[in-house]
Amino acid sequence: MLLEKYMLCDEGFHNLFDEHGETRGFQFLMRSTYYRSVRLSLIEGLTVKVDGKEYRREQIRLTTREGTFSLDEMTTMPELYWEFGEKAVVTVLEQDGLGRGNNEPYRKLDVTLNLRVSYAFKGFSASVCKLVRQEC
Amino acid sequence: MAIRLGVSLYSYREAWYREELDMRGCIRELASLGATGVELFAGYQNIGHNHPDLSDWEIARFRDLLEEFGIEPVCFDSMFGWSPHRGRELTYAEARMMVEKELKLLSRIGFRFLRMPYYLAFQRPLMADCLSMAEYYGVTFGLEVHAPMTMRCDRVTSFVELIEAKKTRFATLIPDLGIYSNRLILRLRENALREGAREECLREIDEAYAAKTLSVLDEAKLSEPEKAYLKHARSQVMDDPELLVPLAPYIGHIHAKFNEVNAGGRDTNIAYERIIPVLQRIGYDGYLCSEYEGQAYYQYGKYGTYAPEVEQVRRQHALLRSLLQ
Repeated sequence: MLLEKYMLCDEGFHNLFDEHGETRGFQFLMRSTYYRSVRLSLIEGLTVKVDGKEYRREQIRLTTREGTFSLDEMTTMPELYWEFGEKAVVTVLEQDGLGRGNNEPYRKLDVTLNLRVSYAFKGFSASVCKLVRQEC
Repeated sequence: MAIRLGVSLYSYREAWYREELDMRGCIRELASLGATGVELFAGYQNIGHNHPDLSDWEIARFRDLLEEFGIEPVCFDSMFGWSPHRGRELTYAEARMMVEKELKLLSRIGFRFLRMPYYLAFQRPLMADCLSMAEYYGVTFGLEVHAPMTMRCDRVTSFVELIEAKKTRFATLIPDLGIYSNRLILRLRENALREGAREECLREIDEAYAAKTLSVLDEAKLSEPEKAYLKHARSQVMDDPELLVPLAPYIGHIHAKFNEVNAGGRDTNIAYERIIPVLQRIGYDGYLCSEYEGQAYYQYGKYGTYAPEVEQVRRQHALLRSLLQ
């Protein structure tokens, strides 16, 4: 695929902390690899694995210029777009974040994006697995 | 009026994606080429948010930018997306409304042509409605004639019949000049060689392509990279530029597709030296909008390099200008 080498960004992969300094999840940056802007309602699935551990659909949030939404919320948003080339923040709500005490600098991030597009019977799917540097 | 030159910003899509060019950068580049028209492809370089409901301010900002650099909006390549809702198709009224919103947007910006997706062009009752709306908004629907279509294929014939039947000035053909590929894409051939394709087999495919005998080529003996090259060959066409002559009244806009103009200034793939004289002879006075599509052939393996999009468009404009003199 043409744009897959751009999908997972090298920056912005880190734990997410609350006001008490406790981890409540982690975030990374990604771009859609579909060849043009995507209506949010076309996002059928976004699966995230870190070092082989897969997270549940309900744990995932996507932040674009339009706001932060769960995958279920986005299925009702045909008027809002994830722009071509726009870096979106993916947040995974997970109490342990990227794993307490795991200070490996590079983690294996494995992400699949599935879109429902009108002219492709099976839809659009892009899957990228990449070692990304964990920032904190 | 003579033939005018423009650029489809689709040509710069990877530079945009990598944030090397923004809208101002693109339009400034067009002006530096001496181009006077711009084409946009839906969902790439956006003029504003929430397409097609752009704000007046977003449109004014874009129009001011074009005016500053002396560029006019020419064509917008629409992609409606017929399944925005989960679990159901659009109703007829919703589809019509979607097209009307697009027409309204294009007329607000000043685009003259709407390049429509094929699924719209051949939905006849809807298309008839669209043509009535087009007249009101002053925007012309264009059917792109893109390989493997040719100027004599059934879709073109049937669309011309529709134009005649409706006696409308608001529907036209948009030939994509990729239909005049007299040689296969050189970079694709080089990639096939790197993957282990045999030179003699590729030459056989090249010769069969030129002789239009691909259908009888023996596939059994070919390796995977050779088969991939054959598959590419079968998706390309070398139509006869003379067929533009009888269709001249139906050609409102043209996509000047290209994949590579080499350092010597020659197109290695498309027969521009044969097309331009025909366009001049039929008195075509619309735009040739550059559409660079060679990016894919630069993504070779893990050490792939970026396609030099800006440089390629500059070379193509130099080539077109020399042929137009």
